[in-house]
Amino acid sequence: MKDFVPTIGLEIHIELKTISKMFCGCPADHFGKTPNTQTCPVCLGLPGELPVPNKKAVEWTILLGLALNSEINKAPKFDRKHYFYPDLPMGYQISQYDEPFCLGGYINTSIGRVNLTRVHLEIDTGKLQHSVIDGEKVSLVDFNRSGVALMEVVTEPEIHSGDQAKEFAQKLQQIVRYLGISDCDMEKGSMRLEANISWGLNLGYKVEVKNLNSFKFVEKAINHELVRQKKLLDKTDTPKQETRGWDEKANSTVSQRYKETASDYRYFPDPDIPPMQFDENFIGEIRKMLPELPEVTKARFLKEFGISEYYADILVQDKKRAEYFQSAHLLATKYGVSAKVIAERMVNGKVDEEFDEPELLVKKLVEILKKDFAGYSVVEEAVQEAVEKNKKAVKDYQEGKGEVVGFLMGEVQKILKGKGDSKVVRDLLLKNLQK
Amino acid sequence: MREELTELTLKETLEGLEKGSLSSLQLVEAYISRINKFDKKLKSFITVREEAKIEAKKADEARKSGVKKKLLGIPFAVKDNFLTKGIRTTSASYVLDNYIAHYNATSVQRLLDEGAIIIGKTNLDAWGHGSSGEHTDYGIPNNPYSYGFVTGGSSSGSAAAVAARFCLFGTGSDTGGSNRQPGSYCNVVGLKPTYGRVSRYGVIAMASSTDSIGHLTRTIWDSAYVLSITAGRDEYDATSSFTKPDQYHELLEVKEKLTIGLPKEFFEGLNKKLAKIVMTAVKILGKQGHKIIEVSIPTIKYAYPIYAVLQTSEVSSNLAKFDGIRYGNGREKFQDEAKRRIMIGTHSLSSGYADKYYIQAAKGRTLLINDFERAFAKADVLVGPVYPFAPFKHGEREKDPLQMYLSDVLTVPANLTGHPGISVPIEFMDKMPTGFQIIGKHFQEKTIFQVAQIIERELMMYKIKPQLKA
Amino acid sequence: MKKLKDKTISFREVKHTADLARLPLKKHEIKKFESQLSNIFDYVGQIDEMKTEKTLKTSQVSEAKNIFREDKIDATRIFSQEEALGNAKRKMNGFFVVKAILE
Repeated sequence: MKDFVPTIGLEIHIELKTISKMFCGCPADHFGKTPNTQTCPVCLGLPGELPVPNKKAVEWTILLGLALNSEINKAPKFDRKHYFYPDLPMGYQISQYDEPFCLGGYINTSIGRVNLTRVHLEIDTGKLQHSVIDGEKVSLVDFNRSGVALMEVVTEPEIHSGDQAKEFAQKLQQIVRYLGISDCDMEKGSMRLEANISWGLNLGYKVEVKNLNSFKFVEKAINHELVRQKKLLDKTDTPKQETRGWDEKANSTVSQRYKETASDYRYFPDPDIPPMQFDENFIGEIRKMLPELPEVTKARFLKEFGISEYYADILVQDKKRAEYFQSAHLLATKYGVSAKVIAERMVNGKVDEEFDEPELLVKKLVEILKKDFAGYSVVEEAVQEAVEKNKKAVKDYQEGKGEVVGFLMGEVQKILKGKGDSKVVRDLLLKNLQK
Repeated sequence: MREELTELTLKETLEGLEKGSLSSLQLVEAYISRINKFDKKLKSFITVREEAKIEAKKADEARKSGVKKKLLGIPFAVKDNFLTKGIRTTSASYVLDNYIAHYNATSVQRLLDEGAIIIGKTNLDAWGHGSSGEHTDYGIPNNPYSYGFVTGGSSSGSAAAVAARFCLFGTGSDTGGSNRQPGSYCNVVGLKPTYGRVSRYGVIAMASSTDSIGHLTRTIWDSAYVLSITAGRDEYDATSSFTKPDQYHELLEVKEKLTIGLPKEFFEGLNKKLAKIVMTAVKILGKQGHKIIEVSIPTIKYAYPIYAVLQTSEVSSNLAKFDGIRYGNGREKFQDEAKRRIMIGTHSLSSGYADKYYIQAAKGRTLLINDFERAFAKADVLVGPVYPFAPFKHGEREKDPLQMYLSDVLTVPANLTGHPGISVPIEFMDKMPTGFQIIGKHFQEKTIFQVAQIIERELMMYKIKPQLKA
Repeated sequence: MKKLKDKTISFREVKHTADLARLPLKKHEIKKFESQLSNIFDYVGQIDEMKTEKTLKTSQVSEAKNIFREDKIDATRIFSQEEALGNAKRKMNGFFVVKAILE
């Protein structure tokens, strides 16, 4: 009697936002560029080319490993992984086989810790597009992306649900963005995800699912796939070992091709790249580059500022926002403005978009407080009330009669008993009218 | 007058140009005239550049206006697996055929920066695969000293062209003996520098961990001078060395007594005639007061099989980029020799076989390196023959690929360990050119030049001209 | 079904190797290479005799370590689109063209 447990492992590829490619000096930023305008002998795979590794890409990979609690390999190397495909100019991909930069590591999710197998560095391939020329099916190849530094994060098969996978991916994205090493954007392709899914490690199969280009699809595809496989297993059939893709229209996974049981990549150490040997000093210098990570920042915000967990999660979503909040609070303490107020305004009013500099925001808040002006939320409520009571005026505004705004501002001030700061009233009124 | 011009060595030519007793244009015209007359039968070139004449004229003008460059107006040949910008590069294979390179190999660029002029691209065993010169799609070159016999390879064309007095030097790549062997068979100096001494960037990779970039010249001084220009760190080649190159041509006089090591494994079962000729050269060194000792390199027994596995593994990988999509023609155009090596390499690396072949060979390489280190603890240089036999007739050894491979036995060890090696001409055997191999410690090219010069001074084989056929 | 005298490399293995290496071979070529490669591997097999249990592999003789380049653009090597496509047999609208890979 077999125990069926949803068993999911993820492989995540992350494009590093280095200035230049992994082994040559071509620009790494390829999104939207005219085809084949960012290539050189190295990334185009011309005869006589030789690779020279990008130091920053190596440092950033180690940085991610440190952020994920991995063990940093002191003697890593690059290997050649051989296979033929039109988007792979050398007929092999420079990657890492048995001595990657980072071993192990983990990310904690709300459902449990997910351990990592490794984090390694490799190069990206060119891009293939399908087309038809004179009735012949062809592929069009663009090598601008060929040679871009690509990190691969591999998890142990310890994920047990679609939403745990989604959470893991989101947390990884957040950490990567905090480190500033990649835009990690699933839509733009700087973050790519594949899932290996089965109902157990000893059932003799696993299905690889690709084409997951949003977190929503990651969750859906995994859940769908688990159901599909379970149906087969319940009939005592073993699901085929294969590669499937998520089909948005069909709302299901679709078979792409049989997954061969491990292609023969004929890995061997790349003889063009001298071996690497790192000491504690080198790794220590990289460790210094670690910023405070989101989990730690969140914990600190909760403890020091007593804001709600909901607000804290939103504020640490983006490192810039967290830093803004931090600066705003530091400035505000001088004037007795509380962190909770700032948090509330940032979350609900997105005031950090309005005020570029935290200093400007704080000045505004202080002004409001000093003059005993009504708080933002109070003004917002008054605006809403005035708008509901004066439907004809609102209609006039919508028909282009701009002068009606003055009248409406007056109505708002009536409700506020004159305690509204004019600029704030005007801004919030316009925001409401333009909704 | 023309004949005399082309008889000059690089050193003599530089002196002539400096003095003004000859011009670059005269030189290039004389060489091209010889090529047009004799190369149809010799087949040392795949591409010849008439444009060289215009460049020669410009060089003469530059010299008149006071420009000082180390090789200003000097015509040289480039082995056709070195990329040359705007010039057809074939690697002697129909897989490339009309490929026009978009950049210069670093080693070529350095020579061009010093004012040298490319007179043409020379023939080779396609992709470097061979030690006879027979594996080319562009006509098998003839040995200038004996038509119908091989030149040796893979830098067959460069060696033949230098021997035939078609240019002042020819570049070559040595992966398993490819400069030393044709040097030996064509009565010219074949140099294999230390691995990493000269940049590999822009040379079509054969076996990345053994490819060494060198050249063929008439004399030792010429070879040393060219090396002083091509050697040195290149940021585009991560394996190129930071060790500062010497002004080798200024350090050719031996200052102390050296210990000359004779690896006994080089002489075991060696053809008696050949052994006698080699020992005559050794005696010359002894007469100069250098100590002659016997050393042993036991792992040499396995050097060839180790090389066969490692070289072909890297070849199979390096040739994977030739898929006909971005350049070149389809893979079906590879000759049998290339196909064979690609398959040996692929098999040696494949799942289930990699441990037995690739990994075992890589470990064996360490043993060989250790043996060499032990030998070099006792000796300053190691010497011996280059080929175990004299030049053979076209087609004679082709029937059995394995027999052909075994001719590399004496040269591959230095490629596996990275040590520098040179072939300097010694007495002919059965009317055919023969070379004497000198292997030195890493980055001690100056020592192998010094020892080679002793032989050259005594025997002066470079004065023996081949009789060419029109 | 194994034959009495097995070649070191079988016909099937030669075919598999040729496939891995994308070398289109005809049947008679595979047969020819079967004996040539078998001879070569028979000869090469002697490397088994070397005692290497405690030996490390050498994959490099450059003695260099930690060779990197700074993360910056090298404008001198970047090709224009025309140069990049210059030697391609098939191209269109700035792309390399290749027969479609059937999935």
